[in-house]
Amino acid sequence: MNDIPLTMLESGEWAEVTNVSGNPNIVSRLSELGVMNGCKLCMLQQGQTCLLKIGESRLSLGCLYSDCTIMVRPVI
Amino acid sequence: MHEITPPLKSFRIALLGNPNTGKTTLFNVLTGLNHRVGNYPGVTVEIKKGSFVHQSSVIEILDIPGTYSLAPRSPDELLSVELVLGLNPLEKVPDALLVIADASNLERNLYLATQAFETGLPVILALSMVDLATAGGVQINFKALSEKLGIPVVPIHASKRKGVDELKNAIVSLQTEKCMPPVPLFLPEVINNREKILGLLGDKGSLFLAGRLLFETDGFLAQQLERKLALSLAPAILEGRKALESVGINLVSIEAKSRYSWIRELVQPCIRKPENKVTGFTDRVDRILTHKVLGMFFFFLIMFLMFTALFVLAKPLMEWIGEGKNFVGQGLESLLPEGMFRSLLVDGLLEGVGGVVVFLPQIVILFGFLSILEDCGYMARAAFLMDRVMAKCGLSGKSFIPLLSSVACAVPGVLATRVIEDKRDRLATILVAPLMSCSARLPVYVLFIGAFLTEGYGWWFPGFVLFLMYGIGFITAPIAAMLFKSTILKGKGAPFLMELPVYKMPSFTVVFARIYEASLSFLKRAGTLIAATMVLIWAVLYFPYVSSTGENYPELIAATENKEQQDALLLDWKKNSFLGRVGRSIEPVVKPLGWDWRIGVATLASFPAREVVVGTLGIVFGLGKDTQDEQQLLEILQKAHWNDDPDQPLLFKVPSALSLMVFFALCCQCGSTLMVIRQETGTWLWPAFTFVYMTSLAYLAALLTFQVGMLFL
Repeated sequence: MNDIPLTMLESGEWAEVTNVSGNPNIVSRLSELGVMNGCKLCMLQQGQTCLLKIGESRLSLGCLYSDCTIMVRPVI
Repeated sequence: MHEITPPLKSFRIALLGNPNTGKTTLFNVLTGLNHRVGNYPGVTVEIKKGSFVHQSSVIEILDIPGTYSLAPRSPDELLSVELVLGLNPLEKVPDALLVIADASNLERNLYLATQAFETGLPVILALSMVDLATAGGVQINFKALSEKLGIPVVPIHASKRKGVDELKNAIVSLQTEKCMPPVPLFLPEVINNREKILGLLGDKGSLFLAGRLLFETDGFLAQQLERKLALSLAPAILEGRKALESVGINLVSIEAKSRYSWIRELVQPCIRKPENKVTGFTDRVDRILTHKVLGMFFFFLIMFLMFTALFVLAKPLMEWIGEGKNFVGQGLESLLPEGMFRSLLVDGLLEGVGGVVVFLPQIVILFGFLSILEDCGYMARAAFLMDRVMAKCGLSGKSFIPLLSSVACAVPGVLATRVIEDKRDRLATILVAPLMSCSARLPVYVLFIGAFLTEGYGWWFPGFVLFLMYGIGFITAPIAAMLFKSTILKGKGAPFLMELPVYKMPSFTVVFARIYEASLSFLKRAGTLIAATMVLIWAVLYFPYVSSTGENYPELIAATENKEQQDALLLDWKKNSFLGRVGRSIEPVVKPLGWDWRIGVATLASFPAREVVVGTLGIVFGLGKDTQDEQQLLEILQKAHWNDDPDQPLLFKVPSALSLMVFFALCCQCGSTLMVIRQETGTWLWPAFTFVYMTSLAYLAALLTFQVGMLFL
């Protein structure tokens, strides 16, 4: 398995979310917005605060500061 | 605008939708100006109520704040859920729900709709942004979707009034024909355990509420319901959760998973999306505007243009208002006999209030700009860009929008902190929001930049100085926040999670409504608080009008023809007035800032509302003289000497003008802000703290500005 943390994904890369874990409140909030196992996303702007595209929405996420970990598998 | 008294049989609907779906526009279009803000104790959200009449039916609408999900995690979110479910004692259960969904992002928006489907109420689905969806290659078969769901689906374009009548028809016909939505599918284990909790809830229950209690991660809703409905729910919830976990169901994600897969199955046959991911307009623009380097460049460029435009565009309008005031003043002077009453009216009220009203064009332009930035979607990008900067101060990008709103006014800025979930982050943002230069500081900046930093400089210079003045707030506020977060408000910040809406043309209706509301409240303030302060200041500067030797100043001035003698008498009168005496006694305190007693007095008088200062300066420097417009006040300030003595040096040089502007930039001179901080924090401690720290900071910074300035300028 070559799963990597979301923070390692380069700008422009697509990936599939394989696991979201951490603070249940944040995990459930993320899942309401569509960030959950099996969803595809694209890293639009990488960085400490990143910008993701999920479905038709753009989500900005303070990656380093959230107490939750998102693991992804890059897709080509 | 008159209130329509609803007859007994009015139909009540609650309006639900994700943020940025055009919910407010739809609400405004449906209700016109016929709405009011509901008052609910213990919460800080504004919930609007409105009504309209269509085909002789009265429809009442309750506007629920925009949300992605009806999962309450705070008292504010709980209120929304209570209102939708009819659990709030102040409101009856709605007769139906109107859900507005963004057609260009349908699946995500239907998440909230699936929750509405479980409330047991009839639902109407309004689809907004259909044009955006079409432009993005998305085609939706509305008829098929409506048939699948068994409820009316109405495509709308609220700002162009398209589909609004169809929507009204659908709402009205719902009164006779109840269209019940389908219930989203869950795993059988979930359904079983949900039924058990539903049984306990009795007549207050709904599938949605029972499911909510089962899925909830932090027990917040359960606690609230147990208290409010006097029920014992915890054992049943715990049992249900255990049962689900024992069959390997992940409670944190099961709700979202089930809802999304149900939505996908339902929507797929009704929607055609382009095969290849076309990179749309928003993504192309975002590549630049959210870029680490280029994005920052454009951010500063936009801010600079905004402040320059503020200066350039407002000038002619301000001159018109100034002339209008002039005209009224001359009219009053020719109509009224000379004396105390005329002086009160012309020198006190007209001069003071008029001097503030002159700045209306700037308020209009500033609020216009900010609401355009917000409505076109740029504001969220600014928050994204600023998250990195804000994180360094221990805050998140969410604190940036309240801070930028405070550029218009700290009162809505403080209210906008309600979106910040973390309590400490929110308090830190509230404490520093008044440091941002608000529109009430603008009059001071405009007057002093116009008087001392315009002539002899390039055309771009005044705008640039104004930009720098605003920069003081933009730099001080994050630093102060960093200090607070590392001392009195220590703690880990909440993660930043925000959706960036699609770029779109700003809606004229929305922008106009913001400008209209802001101007109205500005004029109201000018007519009440500011007018009262002005009259008070006029009075303490007019009385006593008899000198210590018993001579009557107004009579003496009227008796002499000599202009110089008149001016000398006037100065003597002002010096010996109540305000003059106070001013002279505080002069030692303000002298190190480069100010004389008159500026000290004007500053002191502007603690209740800082915009008063311009009017006060008008009164202090010009009582009895003809200072009927801004241009003249500007010239008087340029030519003013220390203590009004022509032998003394000029009162204002660049350093003293700067020190005054810096003082106003940082000082907490606003009663309304302190009141709103009290309201939002629930204690007088924080407004008192804000007042003390800001005022001390302002004094020190002004002192530094003047003393350093004197060395170089």
